[in-house]
Amino acid sequence: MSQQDQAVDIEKVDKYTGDGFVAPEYNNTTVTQKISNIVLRADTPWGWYLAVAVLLPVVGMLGISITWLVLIGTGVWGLNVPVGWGFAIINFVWWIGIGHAGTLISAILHLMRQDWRNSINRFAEAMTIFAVMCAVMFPLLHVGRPWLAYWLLPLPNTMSLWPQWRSPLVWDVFAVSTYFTVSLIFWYMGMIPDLGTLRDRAKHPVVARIYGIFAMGWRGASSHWARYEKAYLILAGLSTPLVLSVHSIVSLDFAVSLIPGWHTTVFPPYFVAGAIYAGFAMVLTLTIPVRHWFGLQGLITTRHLENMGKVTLATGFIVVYGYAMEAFISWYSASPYEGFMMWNRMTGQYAPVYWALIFCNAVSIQILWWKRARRSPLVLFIVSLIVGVGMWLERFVIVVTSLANDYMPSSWDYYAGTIWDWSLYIGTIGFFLFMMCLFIRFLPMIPMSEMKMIIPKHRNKKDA
Amino acid sequence: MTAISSNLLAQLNSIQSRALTIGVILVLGGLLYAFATGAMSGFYQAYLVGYMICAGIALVCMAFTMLHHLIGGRWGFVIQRLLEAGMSTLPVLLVLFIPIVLGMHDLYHWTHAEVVAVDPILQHKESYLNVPFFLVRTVFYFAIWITAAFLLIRWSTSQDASGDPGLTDKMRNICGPGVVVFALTMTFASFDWVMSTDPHWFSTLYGVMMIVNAGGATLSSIIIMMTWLRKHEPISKLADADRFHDWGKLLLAFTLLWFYMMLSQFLIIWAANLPEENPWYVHRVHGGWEVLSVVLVLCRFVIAFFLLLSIPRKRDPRRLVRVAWFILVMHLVDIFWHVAPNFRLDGFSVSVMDVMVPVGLFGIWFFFVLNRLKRYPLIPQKDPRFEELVASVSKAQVSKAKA
Amino acid sequence: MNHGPARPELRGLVAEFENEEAIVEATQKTVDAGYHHIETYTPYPLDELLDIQHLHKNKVALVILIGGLTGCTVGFFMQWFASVIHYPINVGGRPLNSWPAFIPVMFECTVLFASFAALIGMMVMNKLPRPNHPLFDIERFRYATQDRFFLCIEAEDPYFEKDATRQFLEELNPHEVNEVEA
Repeated sequence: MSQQDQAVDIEKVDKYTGDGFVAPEYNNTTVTQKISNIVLRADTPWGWYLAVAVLLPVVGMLGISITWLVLIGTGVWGLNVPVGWGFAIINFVWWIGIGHAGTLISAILHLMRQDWRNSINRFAEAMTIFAVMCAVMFPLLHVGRPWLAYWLLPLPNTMSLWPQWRSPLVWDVFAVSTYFTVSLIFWYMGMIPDLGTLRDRAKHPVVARIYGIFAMGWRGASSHWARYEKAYLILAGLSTPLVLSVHSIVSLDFAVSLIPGWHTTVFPPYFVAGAIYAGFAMVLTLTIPVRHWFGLQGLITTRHLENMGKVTLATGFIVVYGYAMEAFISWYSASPYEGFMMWNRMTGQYAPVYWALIFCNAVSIQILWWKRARRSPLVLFIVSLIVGVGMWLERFVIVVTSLANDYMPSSWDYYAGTIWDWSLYIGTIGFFLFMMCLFIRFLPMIPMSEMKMIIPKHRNKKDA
Repeated sequence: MTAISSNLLAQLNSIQSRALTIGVILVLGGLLYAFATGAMSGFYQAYLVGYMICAGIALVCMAFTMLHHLIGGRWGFVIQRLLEAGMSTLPVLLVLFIPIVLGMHDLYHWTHAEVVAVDPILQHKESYLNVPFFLVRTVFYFAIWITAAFLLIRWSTSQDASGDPGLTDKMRNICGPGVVVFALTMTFASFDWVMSTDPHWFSTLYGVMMIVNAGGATLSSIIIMMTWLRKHEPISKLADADRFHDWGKLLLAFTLLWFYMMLSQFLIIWAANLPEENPWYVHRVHGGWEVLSVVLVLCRFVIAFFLLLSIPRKRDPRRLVRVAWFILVMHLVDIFWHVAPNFRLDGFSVSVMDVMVPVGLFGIWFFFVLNRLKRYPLIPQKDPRFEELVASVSKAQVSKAKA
Repeated sequence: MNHGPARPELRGLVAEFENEEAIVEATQKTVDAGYHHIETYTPYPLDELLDIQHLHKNKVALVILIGGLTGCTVGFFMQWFASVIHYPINVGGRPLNSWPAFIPVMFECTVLFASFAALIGMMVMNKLPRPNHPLFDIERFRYATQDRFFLCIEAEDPYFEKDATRQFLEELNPHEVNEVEA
């Protein structure tokens, strides 16, 4: 009895929790119409045009920043002698991290048979791809002569020079390019059936032809599905260790060095957790407005948001665990440099940044212990923005405080980004959002075939 | 009220008494050997290895119970009582800690006042690494663990009687903070008990590493126990190939994580090659220890990984259980590899105690696990999620039968 | 629509069903009736159909495994060749064959090759891309990727006989039965 009462109670709180993760009005037909119409119909919400209009100048600013940088050189940035790694690396790590939640949602949750991920995975994977694009720009520009970036690849050459295989920076080249390629394959493969749907629903022959080319003649034969499902599952299985490896290798860029505050063994898992943390925050930041504008509350329900809130809280704690270990071991190691590094972070010239990061990453998420907060889109939206900022500050603290005050006090300096640092960074945010806008307009942002798998069967009967 | 069938009870009783007898004989035999050869230090090392295995599994049982309450899902339901039995041994483990206290002088170099007096690094650490604070911390960890285990077990068993779904919410409420507290306490416990056997060395990853190691051992133990229990009601109805597949996948994940932790720590220390960090690895790649290191990685990761890759193997309990036994034995080697090289600096050496004492201690500990397991129903039948699970399992079986 | 005598190029007959239960039941009956050269087309994978059509075994996993092992080997030898054979250089006293440092790139190559094997293997075994297909000539087949389910009995099946098979399909209570031209 009491069990039923409870179920009714939940029903009152949210009408979408009654029947899993899809609102009752959706069946195979309506879900196809709802999602494909966003792409195929002409009446795009005016908000989309507004967003594109606002973002285009920002993308232009990115173009100008890159041009200026290439013309003048990395001197336009705020780098100085002890701080040779500044915004470029901070932003690189930040963007790569954001991409990781996409892989986490699509691959790890798929392996764990968490069906609720079916409505947000496509969106999250798109986020991964565009975030990695933004990330890759920074090291390429940071090399100073981007047109020689192919030197990073093991190409036979007359001077028989090879990349330094013992260097984590070379591992990074492989990790990031593999990550981008595999994410693209995973994303595209997941989309093939939906591209077939768009081909079959498109009114305009040219549009149908374009989607048809990318659908490659998909017709949903069961023998095809059998191989497709198997390949997709194994790709998910491959992506899971891959996503772990990518941010671990990024963390090795720091950890393999001898700089106090960088060289610490917890970095690989701690970076991975931080990446997922920032990435989930970004998924929330983007899905909350999008579900509102496109009326997708029935497909991305409050329960989805609540689950993402829980993941944010959990990964946040892993990150805080990392901070705790760093702080404790910096004392326990009895190394004066480690001890100074920690003390300097907390009380030195960048202390406000450190405490801001602690507030953003450790304190702000505590509100998510309350169910009501996790179910409130507004609270989640605000928290996710704070976390996004916090994770940027974390990378700032790691990169800058350790370099600015290293072993030799005579070389200490102060670092701050110049206007070109900021314009490039903001430009990539604009580029990312612009790409997301194109994505939600021209590709199915929710996987139709996978949604149909979680719709209760009785809804597809005529009498239902 | 009979919680479990008399047939199963008789079997459990006989295993239990055998575990205790063999356990006591082995530990006492080890002790006698130590007295006879005058190698008390070796005994304590072996005891610490055995203790870390038992305590690690008991603690990860608690963590898995908490995760099960938080996340739900079918993987944890059938094993909930087993996990509860595992964590119910925490008070026993507090008692079993006494020999470590007795052996502190042999195990922990930082307890030697004359060594600390000439060692500035140990002087720096003295406010943390000193005997009274060490004991206070240990008691503090156990106080937290025993309280959490007590509450979780009590609410779960009282739900058997009352069927109150509110108890599930109660459990859930403590599990969120519980997981956080568990991670921190187990981390510091592994710093204190194992990492400080080499008091100069430090690694921020060490706590996570020990949790992951124990996680693999716990999953192996679960698979071993469930393979045996699946022949009995009511487990036989619920532990089907899908469940073994779930546990097998988790074991595969923990096998990968094990290697991930090993590689991360090794690569960072190897590449930096700093004198304050690398001795830990220098001890493990010289004087014969390198053979053990290679064997460990080869068996615990490479072989286990390829064995667990196969889906049919994960779905067949009889084949999966062999991998589980293999990993459990490798866990013994793993913990031995963590402890022994810190003491046997002259080169690789192993004595009969290194096998007798951990295996014996495991037997004694296992006695208490079964002691708890046999007294309560094997499935929390009044849990609000029970019906759903039975329905989904029988549905899966029906569709299999059709095919 | 084709008029006149039955064309030898007939590829098969395809029946349309409205929901999951209907296609599963119809496919089961078709298999029970002895037809083997059949194929079903669904907007999302149906486990029951894979069971009935015995489609669970395939070589995708093997292809991916081979891809992964190739990648791992290539990854190692690429680094080993460059560091040990082609241009040996002492960096901080590390051994030339610094295998611990080679592991990350070996792993990345493994995943890269395995992923390509997954995509290309799946495509080749499914005989895709094939942008045009006789089935697409059927007006209503475009619902196969939306909300309808199709069952095709192919002409090459030994039991196939145009009229009798059509009769058989009609009895399965489909929405519509169509001919697929070759």
